[in-house]
Amino acid sequence: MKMKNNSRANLPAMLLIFLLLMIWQCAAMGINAAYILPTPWQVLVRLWELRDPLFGAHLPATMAVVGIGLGLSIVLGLALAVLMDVSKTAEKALYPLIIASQTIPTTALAPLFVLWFGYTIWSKVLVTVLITFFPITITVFDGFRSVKTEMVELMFTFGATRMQVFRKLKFPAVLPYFFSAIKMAIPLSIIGAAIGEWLGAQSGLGYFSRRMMTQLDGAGVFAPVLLLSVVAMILVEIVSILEKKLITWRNA
Amino acid sequence: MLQFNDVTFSYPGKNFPLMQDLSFQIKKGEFVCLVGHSGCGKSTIFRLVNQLLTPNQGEILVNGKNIAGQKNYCGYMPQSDLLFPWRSVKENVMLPLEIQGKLSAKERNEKAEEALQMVGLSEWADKSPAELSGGMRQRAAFARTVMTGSDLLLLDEPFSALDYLTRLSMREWLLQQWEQDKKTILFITHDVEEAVYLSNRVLVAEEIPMTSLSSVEVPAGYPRTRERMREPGMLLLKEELIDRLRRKDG
Repeated sequence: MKMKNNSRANLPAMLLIFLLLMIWQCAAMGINAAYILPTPWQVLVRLWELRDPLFGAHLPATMAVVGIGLGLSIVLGLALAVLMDVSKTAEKALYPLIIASQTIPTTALAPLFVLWFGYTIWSKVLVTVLITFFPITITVFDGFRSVKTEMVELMFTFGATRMQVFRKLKFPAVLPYFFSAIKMAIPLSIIGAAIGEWLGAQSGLGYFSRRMMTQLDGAGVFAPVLLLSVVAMILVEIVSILEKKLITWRNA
Repeated sequence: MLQFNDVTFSYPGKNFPLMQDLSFQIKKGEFVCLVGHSGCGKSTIFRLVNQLLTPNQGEILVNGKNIAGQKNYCGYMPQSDLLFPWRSVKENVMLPLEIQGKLSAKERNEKAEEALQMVGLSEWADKSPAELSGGMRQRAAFARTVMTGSDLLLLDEPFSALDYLTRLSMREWLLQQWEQDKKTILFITHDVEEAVYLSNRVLVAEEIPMTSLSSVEVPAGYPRTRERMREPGMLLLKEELIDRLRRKDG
């Protein structure tokens, strides 16, 4: 029943996407200069032509950055959120710093990372982590704050230890927030990886896209970007499915 | 069962005490209601008993022993049911046993099923709390409170969020439960009628700081029916309590 509703609700969105693609197609045909604006069809064709380097070399390179970067961000983000929940002092010390860290123009700093780490994977991972850990920390910490004090107190009246309060109350209460955070973090980590690769890399979809730009290959610039978007959507969808399986009480 | 000896308490940062040398006691097996204005410190009494707060002076005894260092000597039921939405009704009821960690999973399960049967929710054991009505949720919360295994139950306005008719049947239901398992109940309410209907004895918190609680016996035995509330003695008591609480309003 629910599935049906979903697909019906998505129909207007599908129509809109189709319409936008049509406008794009028409505009590109009007401009008639593929190196400036290729048509969607040209992008698809180019994606097919470039399938070997894209899927064989550059996608795995980017995914390695995304995987390591996202993994580190999750660990760091959760650790900071838990730390701030456990200790008021840590919250006072860290919270302003974490917020302030977001005013740093990470992209502008990226060349520095290249200087430090060279063209290795770590310069890209660092950009990814700096962009990605923040929403995880803040969203999960919000989750901790949303736990009702009354529930914590109730558990204490049952004689619970702090560890039991964490395991039986805070952990499940924070799970929905965690999933929201991950869904936000996935696209950000992909953006982070791509930015890192633009600035200095020897492989990866970001790097490839930039290289195509220097060759005035409009469709070649778009193809890896399209691939990245599709990968992001698939990953987010996988997480959403997991979330629906695990969290059955969200609307309760 | 429960005894306050010269307890003084003030919230940190407040100049005046909320309680000053307060003493009272509740005997084993009694059903006592505590009435008073909101903000007069009724709930603070509960928070002191379950050690969410510590008195500045004086001592609180349960079963003749100071509560400091004791565990699982009282079961607390808050105003809202606070059932965890990610747990089934039965898992919610099991929570205190899980925390105590004394029983095996199988024994916990059996105990929880017994408790659910007692409150008439056996068929709802595996449902999510969201599927229950307000009254059923309070019954589940009561079962959870009983699972603490303590003989002293502290109920903090447990029915105040329910609609009137549900409240009436929950009162009758609670009395049945109490007559069955003879726990000692201290029940907070601001509803004078509820207090008179339920209890052996009503404690009235009249002033701030609380220095004493006046104790008023209810002139009727059990089982109680709603008809008994029309007896002259009960009506008189109700009026008297309202008068006492009103006087402090002026």
